[in-house]
Amino acid sequence: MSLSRAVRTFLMLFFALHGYCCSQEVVMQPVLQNANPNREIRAKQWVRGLIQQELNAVSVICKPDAEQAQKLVDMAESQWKPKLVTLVKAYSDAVNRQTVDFESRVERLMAIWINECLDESRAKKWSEELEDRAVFRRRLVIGKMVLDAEKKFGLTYQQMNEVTDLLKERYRESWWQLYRQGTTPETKFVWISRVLSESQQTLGNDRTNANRIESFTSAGSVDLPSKKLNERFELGDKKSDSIIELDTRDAEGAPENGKRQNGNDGVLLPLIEIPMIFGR
Amino acid sequence: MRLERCEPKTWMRKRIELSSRLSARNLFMVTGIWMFLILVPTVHAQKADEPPTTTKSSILSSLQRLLDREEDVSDEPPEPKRAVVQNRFEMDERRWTEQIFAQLGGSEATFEQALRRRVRLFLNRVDLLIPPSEALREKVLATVELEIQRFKTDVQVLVSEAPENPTQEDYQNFYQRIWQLIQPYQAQPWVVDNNSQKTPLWKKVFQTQLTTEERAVLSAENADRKRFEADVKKLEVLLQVTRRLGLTATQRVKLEEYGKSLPSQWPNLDVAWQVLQQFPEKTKSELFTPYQIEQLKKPLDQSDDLQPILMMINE
Repeated sequence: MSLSRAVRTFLMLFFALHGYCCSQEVVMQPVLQNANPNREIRAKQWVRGLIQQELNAVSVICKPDAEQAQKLVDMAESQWKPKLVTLVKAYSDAVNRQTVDFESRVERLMAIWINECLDESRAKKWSEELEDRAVFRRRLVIGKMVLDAEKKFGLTYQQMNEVTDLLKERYRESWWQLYRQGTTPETKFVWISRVLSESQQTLGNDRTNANRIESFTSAGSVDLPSKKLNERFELGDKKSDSIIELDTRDAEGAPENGKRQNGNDGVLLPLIEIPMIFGR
Repeated sequence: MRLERCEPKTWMRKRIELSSRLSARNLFMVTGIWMFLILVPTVHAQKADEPPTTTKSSILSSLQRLLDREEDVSDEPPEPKRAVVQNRFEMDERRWTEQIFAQLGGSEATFEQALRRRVRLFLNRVDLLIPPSEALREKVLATVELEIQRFKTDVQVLVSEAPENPTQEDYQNFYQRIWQLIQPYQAQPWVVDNNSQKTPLWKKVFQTQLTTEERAVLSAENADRKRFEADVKKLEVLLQVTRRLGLTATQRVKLEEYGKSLPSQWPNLDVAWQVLQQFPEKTKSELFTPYQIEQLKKPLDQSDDLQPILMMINE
């Protein structure tokens, strides 16, 4: 080597140090931030919108007296956040909107509050209302299933009605859950084979080329009512007690209903952890 | 201080602080890379060359070499770049055929089976409505076999005219022709329309074999089934409206009754929302509470925020 000793030493030192520096942990980690930083607020708005709707319905259906109304509205205002914190979290972490069931969570919570705050006769009216809703949902889910069965087994109009009756006997709550998540439950051949003709049974039993044709539903749309976080719950002419604190972050720019917010939505940030050779 | 997952603004602030604190080290790293780039070729060059030259000149010469490498020596003018790069598809007859049958349920065999199945479903239903006739059944089934063969031939003829290396435009134009060919065979067994262009041959044959009474029975049946479907769709929209406005059961029943009197269908929430908004004030006040009428004035919120990746790509 013709390099002088000084240069060689310098180079060796240099590369040794350089190698040490570069060997430090350098993490390039893509972090998918929340699609919308305001998604949590959005979820809260929907929750509040739903609760407000239920309160409106309560005032029409149960007609609570002044004391009961005040108690119910206060309870809603003070408890909605701790009770539904998992729901809001689930929405802000969700990839798929349809997996987050706002409606039934709020419905169940509301039923508990009403049982606590209202007297028995009024609470009974509310449970009747809930039953009515369930019946309506059943009607819809079964209607969709019958339409699918009609395509699949070639039913006549009369058979469609018969199948409707058969499915009503078999109805389960989980069918509604399936429907709400976006697919119609499958109508099994054995459930309805009783109403089929002989040739229909032969063809229906032959599954060699029968694709699953269960259709998609639109139940998972995002059309929920919303209410601002800094507006108090109302029930008739009662408002929630002013002692209860409200979330005022709403004023800072949570998206209005129907508007999409620009800005930091869905940014893929490279998170580089810089080695700390001097600091450690 | 370490960088951790946090809000974007905070993250940027931390990042700037960190980089300013570590500037000396960063500089070191950067110079290291440059030194490496320059010195390594020098050392190698020295090992190869005998006898060795001085260090200074060898560095200079290697720098010169590095620079030379970048230079474009040729005097020929560079080829003009294409203004538009067109997206071309590599297609041959086999691929086109695959494409066509993919539209019809997967493969050729699947298409045949599915069509036969559909026709048999149709005939099974018909048998329950009008007196079953074996002759009619056989005739229709024979027509289906004939039609399958004819369709395959049509596909072959069409595909032989297909462009082999189509541009986007060619592709779309040719797809129009494909669409026309396969339209009657799309899987829509529940739709029986009288548009002769769209009706498959077996259905035409079937229609000609019927008496007037039988035809009347079947069309009444079709109307019933269509009504059933429309009713279910209406229920679906009604459920969404109920959710959006917070209707009580009583109100929902009223709205359903009122909806029956409307000639227009309720195909989806968008249309239904507009229909509701255009209700006369008197009807609105009968059906809804003041709070709900206020809600009805707002636009629908159809945007789905849960598509971060798609949004990212668009940006």
